[in-house]
Amino acid sequence: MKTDTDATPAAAAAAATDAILTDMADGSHRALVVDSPPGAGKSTLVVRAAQELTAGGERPIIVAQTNSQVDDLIERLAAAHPDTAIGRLSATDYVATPALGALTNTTVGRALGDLSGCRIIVGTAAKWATVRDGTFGWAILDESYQMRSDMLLQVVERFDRGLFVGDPGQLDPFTIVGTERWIGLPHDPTQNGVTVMLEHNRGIPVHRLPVSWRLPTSAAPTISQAFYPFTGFTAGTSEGTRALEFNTTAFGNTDLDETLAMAFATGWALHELPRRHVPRTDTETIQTAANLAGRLLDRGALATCERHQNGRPLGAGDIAIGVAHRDQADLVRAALTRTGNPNAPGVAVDTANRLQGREYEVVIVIHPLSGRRDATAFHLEAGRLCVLTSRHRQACIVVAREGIADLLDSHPSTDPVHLSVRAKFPDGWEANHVMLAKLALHRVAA
Amino acid sequence: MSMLSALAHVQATESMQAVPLTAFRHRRLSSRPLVIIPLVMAGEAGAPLAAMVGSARRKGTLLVVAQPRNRDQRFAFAASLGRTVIDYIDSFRQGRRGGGGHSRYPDTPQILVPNHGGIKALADLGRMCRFRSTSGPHAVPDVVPEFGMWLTFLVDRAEQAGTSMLLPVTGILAEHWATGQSTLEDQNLASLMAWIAPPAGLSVEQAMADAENPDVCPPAGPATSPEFDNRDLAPAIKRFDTARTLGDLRALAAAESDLRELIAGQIQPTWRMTWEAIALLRSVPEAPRTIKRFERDCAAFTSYSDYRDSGGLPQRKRDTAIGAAQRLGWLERALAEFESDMAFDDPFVLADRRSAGEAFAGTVVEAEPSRTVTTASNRRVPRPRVTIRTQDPVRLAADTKLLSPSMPSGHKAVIVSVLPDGDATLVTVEVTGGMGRARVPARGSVPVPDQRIAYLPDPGWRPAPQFPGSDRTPWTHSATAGETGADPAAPEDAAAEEWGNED
Repeated sequence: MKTDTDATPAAAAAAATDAILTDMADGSHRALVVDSPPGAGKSTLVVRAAQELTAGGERPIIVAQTNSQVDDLIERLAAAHPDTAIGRLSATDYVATPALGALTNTTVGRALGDLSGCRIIVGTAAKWATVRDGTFGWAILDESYQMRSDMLLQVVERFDRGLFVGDPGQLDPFTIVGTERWIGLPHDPTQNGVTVMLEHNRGIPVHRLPVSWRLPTSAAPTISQAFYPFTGFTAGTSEGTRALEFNTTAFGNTDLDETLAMAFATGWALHELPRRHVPRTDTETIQTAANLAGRLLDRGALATCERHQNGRPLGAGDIAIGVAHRDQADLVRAALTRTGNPNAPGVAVDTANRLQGREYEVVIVIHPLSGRRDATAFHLEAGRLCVLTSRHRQACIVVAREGIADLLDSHPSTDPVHLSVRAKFPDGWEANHVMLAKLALHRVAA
Repeated sequence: MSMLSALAHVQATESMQAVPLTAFRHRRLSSRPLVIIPLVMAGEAGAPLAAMVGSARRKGTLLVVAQPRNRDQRFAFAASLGRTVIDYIDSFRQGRRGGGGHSRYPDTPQILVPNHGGIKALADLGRMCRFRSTSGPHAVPDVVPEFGMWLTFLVDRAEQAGTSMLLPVTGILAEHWATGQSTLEDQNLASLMAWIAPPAGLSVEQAMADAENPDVCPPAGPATSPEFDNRDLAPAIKRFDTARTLGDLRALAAAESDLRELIAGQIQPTWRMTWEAIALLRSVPEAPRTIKRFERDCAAFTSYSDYRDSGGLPQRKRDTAIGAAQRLGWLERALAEFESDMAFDDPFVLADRRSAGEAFAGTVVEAEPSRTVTTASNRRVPRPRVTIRTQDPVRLAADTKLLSPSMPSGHKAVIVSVLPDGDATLVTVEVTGGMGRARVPARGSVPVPDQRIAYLPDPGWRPAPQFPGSDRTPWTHSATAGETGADPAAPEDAAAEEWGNED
């Protein structure tokens, strides 16, 4: 427990936000960077910053990475500022979602000219890249660690100053082209935009949000230690605020129930299947992950949290299953239909890339290294495990075959070292070990 | 590795015989390629030792650097290799066709090296040569920088998928044949050839054992066998050095011819094998769309040729921020198009993509050929819908644009929905193009019930990304001027040498 001299999480978060807004108002910096751990109120900050800029007479633009991120932001902006005219810059084939269509203060436009009356204009980076003229005072770049440097180069002429917001622990952008040509260059186009911008501009203030509102007290210290080793964060809720309870008692004492009980009690569970080398499409692993979700729905659970203090029944939409590969996702979806629970197909199943930025009550993860013979850079990437294990508000269950620790020990990272390339932290190998050490305390052998 | 190619490798292992992975050869083979087999000396990066070069099996020229550490000899070597290569390239700079700004040479040079290492060796050689000055101290013959710039052009172009002006022979072989060895082992020309076409009278096992013995099959370069280096090469170079120090011309000539003979023994087996591989590759039919990519090569060759004629500068040592971003865009685009072209042309590649859910084939179960819609400009256009039942594990989302190798060219469609149907999947697509201009689709342009049809995603047309002008690198990608003068992000400024970096 913290000593009473420590500020409450809410106060710490407010102080961080104030410092960011002060730096922004100060105007002496071309850019500000805000590093945000999972669920630290990044979108809230974006909405708040947009409001401050608009109040100061600016006409900020917001650059997000995907259409659904844009839609989410607009909904939040419109709710927070019902009087501000908001523009959505969209491609010609974009069809507004029903929620967006219902907003009265939002205009959808194909070109900047259509949005001349709007105080805040939001669009995807790809769409902003097609805008050829017009310069705005400020841009807020959301999820900027997922934006490649070459994309930043296409949109940078549209603004004078930028607020770069993002989560450095998530997956890096990638390219399918295998080239070593730019390794070590400060403007390597395959790097993310924030890294490249910081490389060329000294003295840019880097702020970080200190509190994760999403992760429960059981998860925040582990995730912080494994994936944010130098810039820790704390959970926003106190112990006991979040809880899961079963609606029914278990009949028989199956391993599924044991795992669920462990996850409900401690916030973590490692459901460990017998050691075996298997392809990533291993039926047993995949069916187990689906069965866990099915069993959870069968038994029914009540989730208590700061938003629902009297508890709320968990539905299929509150559960996600995270995997590393798309073919696994397809197989898990098929496996969910075989669990016998009619609601099970409503469980969200996706790869780490697509789960970025999303939030669920309970997340079931198929460990990327489960059953593998080797540990490749793809499967070791810290961002992948970080995304998978930091989506939950209540509990995270990892399904894996026994032997991952041995696998890690026989495959230390062997990435080549290049001149002028900074060592990347956190190291995927080490982060994996930290997570495993934590999960070992919550292990249930199947 | 996808399921089907993994299966092919397993099959190759079991039958001890290479298995074709593709129905076609997706790389163009020139009727008159220039083969270069570069060798480099161990211990110093990019120090050329020898090269065998020629455009016919019987016309190989061996060039040797007797003392690779000697820069004068090194550039004399670069000049003689350069003359051969530039003569070869110049022989393609004629018979320009077409008028105005679109005229181009009808053919391009094609340089073949044994493996990827060969390309790296040429890249190093190009970099070593292209900045050399032809006057003042350390002057080199005119051909050296010219050669360096052409080599760099070819190496840069070779990075782009689907191009054929500079290719490694092992790469083309491994693209067409699966063997029972690892990807790394497939880069060894001798053992790859042992799998595909073992020498007469030898089994694959025997041929592979030979391929692993450097005394029988010397490595295909650019590195020579360490055993050869220690046992033969080092003493021979020493003899040459001694003779030169003593000024003994007869001993010098003898030492030089000894060296040539030694290196000839190392390089000639690879030379012969490379030409055998080329003959083997010629027997594989060329994929139809290769010609489309070849035309782009012709355009690139013509435009670089014109740039050289106008006295253009050598390529930069490092890409600028904008140049790099632009290049990444081209490379990604070329790769997507090449992969799509291969699947379009080649049923084997298509099957591979299908097994991964990136394409599908099935039977038309339902068709709505007369469906029309009214466009935004108030025109009625045919938009037939077709439902296809497929057993493939389709992993394409709605709104994916599609191409079909089983329909007349120009056929375009878009996925409307993907629904599971028992073990199979029902994919409904809307035909959007290739139906002619009339209000009724042209005959045969819409799939009919019971027709077998395959679809794959269309990489489609995308506007080229627009970057700021090269003289206006924005603040995010360049250090703000005026701080210290020199750009801290340009490490070569700090490491400039008297002879080396500045020019």
